[in-house]
Amino acid sequence: MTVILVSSDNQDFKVDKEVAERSILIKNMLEDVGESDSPIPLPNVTAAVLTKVIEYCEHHRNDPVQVPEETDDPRKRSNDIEEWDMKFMQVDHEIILAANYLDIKPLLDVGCKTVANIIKGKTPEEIRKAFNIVNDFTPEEEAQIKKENEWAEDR
Amino acid sequence: MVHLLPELLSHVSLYLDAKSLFVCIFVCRNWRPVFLPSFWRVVDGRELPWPSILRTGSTTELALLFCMHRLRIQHLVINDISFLNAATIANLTNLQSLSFACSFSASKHRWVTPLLSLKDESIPRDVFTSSQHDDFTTSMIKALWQLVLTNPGLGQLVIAADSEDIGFSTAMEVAPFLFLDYEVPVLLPRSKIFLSTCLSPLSTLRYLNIGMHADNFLLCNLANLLPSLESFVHSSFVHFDPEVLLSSSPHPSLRSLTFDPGVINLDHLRSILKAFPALENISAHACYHDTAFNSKQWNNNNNNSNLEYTSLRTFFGLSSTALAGLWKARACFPNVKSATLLEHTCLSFNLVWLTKRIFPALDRLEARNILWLEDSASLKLGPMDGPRFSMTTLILSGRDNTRADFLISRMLFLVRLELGTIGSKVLDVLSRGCRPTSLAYIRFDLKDQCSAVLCRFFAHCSHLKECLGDGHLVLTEDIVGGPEWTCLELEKLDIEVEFSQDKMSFSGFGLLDQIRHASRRIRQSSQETRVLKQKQAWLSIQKQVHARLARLRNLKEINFGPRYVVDVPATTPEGYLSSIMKRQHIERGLDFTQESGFDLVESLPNLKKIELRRFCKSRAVGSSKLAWMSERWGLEATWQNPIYTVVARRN
Repeated sequence: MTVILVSSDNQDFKVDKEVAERSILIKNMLEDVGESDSPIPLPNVTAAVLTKVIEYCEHHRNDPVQVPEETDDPRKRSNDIEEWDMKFMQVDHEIILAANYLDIKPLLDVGCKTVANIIKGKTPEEIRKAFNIVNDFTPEEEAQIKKENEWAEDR
Repeated sequence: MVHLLPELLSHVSLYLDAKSLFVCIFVCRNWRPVFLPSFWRVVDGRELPWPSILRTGSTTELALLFCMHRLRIQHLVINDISFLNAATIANLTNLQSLSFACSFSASKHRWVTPLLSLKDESIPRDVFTSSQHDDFTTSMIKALWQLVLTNPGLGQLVIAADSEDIGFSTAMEVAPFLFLDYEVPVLLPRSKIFLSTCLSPLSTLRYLNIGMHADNFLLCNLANLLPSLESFVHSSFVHFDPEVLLSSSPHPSLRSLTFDPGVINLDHLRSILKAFPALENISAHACYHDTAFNSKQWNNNNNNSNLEYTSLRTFFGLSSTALAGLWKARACFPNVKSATLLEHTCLSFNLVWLTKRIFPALDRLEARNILWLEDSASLKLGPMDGPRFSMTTLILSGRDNTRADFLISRMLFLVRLELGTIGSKVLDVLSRGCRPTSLAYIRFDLKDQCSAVLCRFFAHCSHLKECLGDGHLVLTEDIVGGPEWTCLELEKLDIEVEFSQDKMSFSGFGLLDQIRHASRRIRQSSQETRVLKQKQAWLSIQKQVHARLARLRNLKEINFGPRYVVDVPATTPEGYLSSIMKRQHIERGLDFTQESGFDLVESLPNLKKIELRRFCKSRAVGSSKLAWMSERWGLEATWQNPIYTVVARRN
């Protein structure tokens, strides 16, 4: 059984139902709609991103559905990204937004781990560069921050 | 890069350590409100930047910071008295987990809170006066309990072993321990009230780990004091009266119980199983002492039926005497999948009993320090053609297991096997007809040099995924001339390849015949030609070896061991030899060049790590041979005297 997904730029994607249901959003939509082959519009996802997301879901179609693990450790590990996923994520960070919107938890996790790995070991300036962020603190705030920074610097 | 929404950023923050979170606070205005709470959510004194703050910052400053962020702190690891000080001043109330591991007396000067601020109502002063703490320590203990009391939402409480005794058993009155000549303190009535006062508000506590003496009172009242507890770790000597525990009300939710180090007898075990009906995992060293054990009492219906304990899944720490007792009592654990046996003497249990009667569903057996004896094998394990054991994991750690062949030949369904030190005998069993066919993960250290047997093992175990350990000596002649390896799924491999320089006489191999022919001529020619020919011979052997290894398409990590080098034989005088080698551009050491066919191995699609463990430093890789390799591989050498290791990782 297949489902038709429509991206924000009006491209149709024919996908196996099983694959599409990796997205909890789509799964819920399909359950609400019931037996119907009307296409599902995804106004927040462009065709380029949707292609990637479907590629991910295809690759992971046989994975067991993730059970939210209860760990007592308040910090999660980010160095356990699968190789295929690592290559996959190098392409585009927009996927994280799509994963959030489509509610695909494992993809979101991998995305966030990737971002975390980029952040690790960098200075604020390097992070701004990596994420194309403008330093929007005023000079006064900057001075204040510098002061705040002092107490934790490696002295 | 698109801008990440705050909700996504806070998801990202879960994967960051304290130092990175701290840096993120200063990136931009949007990030600040997300990462500031994330940073303060977990305050772990062991994580950067805290150690440097403690080294240089003032205790007062820390306390001020704690006050500013008091509602944000949810997880606190106190490894320095300054944190306890700051937490007391800030009066933290939102803690979900608290871990305490520091000594009070060593860091007195870091305490600045007036001791008067510690409330006296909830924690009576005289609770601790009977123990030998000084006033300061007593105050600190009170501060800690006060912190616990102000955080009734705690889910996790860890009080580590190196902390002072903070009151799980306080009084100086002593009761004789059951069978050891050992006396333990018991709680006075006042202390009981104190412990109840401190623990019973923690209605959401799921995990408790204490590193000091607890006794009858805590364990026997766990159902009343902490009904929501799921896991209890007691890292100190255990002592409780099984009769008292038997008469206590059963605990509804405790799933995991650890006594470490703890020696319990079967009466203890029986009372534990009864008092904690939901128990799934137990870890305690169980022994059997005739004097204190009455199997009839255990199985009091006495109608020869088995006594079943269905909740238990894993059992760590049974001794053979305890097993004998369990067998006598007809106790049965139908759902135990994993059992760990501890032993200090010879093996004296019967594995057939163990699997048929006590643990019928056993899937993973770990045995520590057990000696497998050939002469009693059929007695303990049944005759060779008798029962087979169906477990998929066998771990024999500790002693030398060179005689475990009798055991392994009876286990045909093994998937994972860890063996410690073995010899050729065990390996021989694994490489013959009667062997576990689905074996995928194996780890062993080889004592004997049995290159041919090892190669036969690789030729027979076609499902092997990992083969790890030391001493896996493999001669090049056995790789090239031996049976074809079928373990094509292999991902991790530790072998110690050695060039068999003087053994050029491989039979049934065309190329090597040529070499043999060449080497015969070498003897007649000058030293220089001889060395040159020798080099040619190495290269062709290496090519063969590399071609064979390159068939293992799934290889991710390979360790070539300490001997994987080419060297000239010592027959030529050293000084003369080095001049020849210089003239002919021959370098000693490992050859990573394409000439040696190493590119075949290097280009394996999944290969991530090439290691030369315990490599001899003097034979280190020649620089010119490295250039080609280091283009795509990051090379690092570690020198941990006397172990030198070269590791190459794909860039």
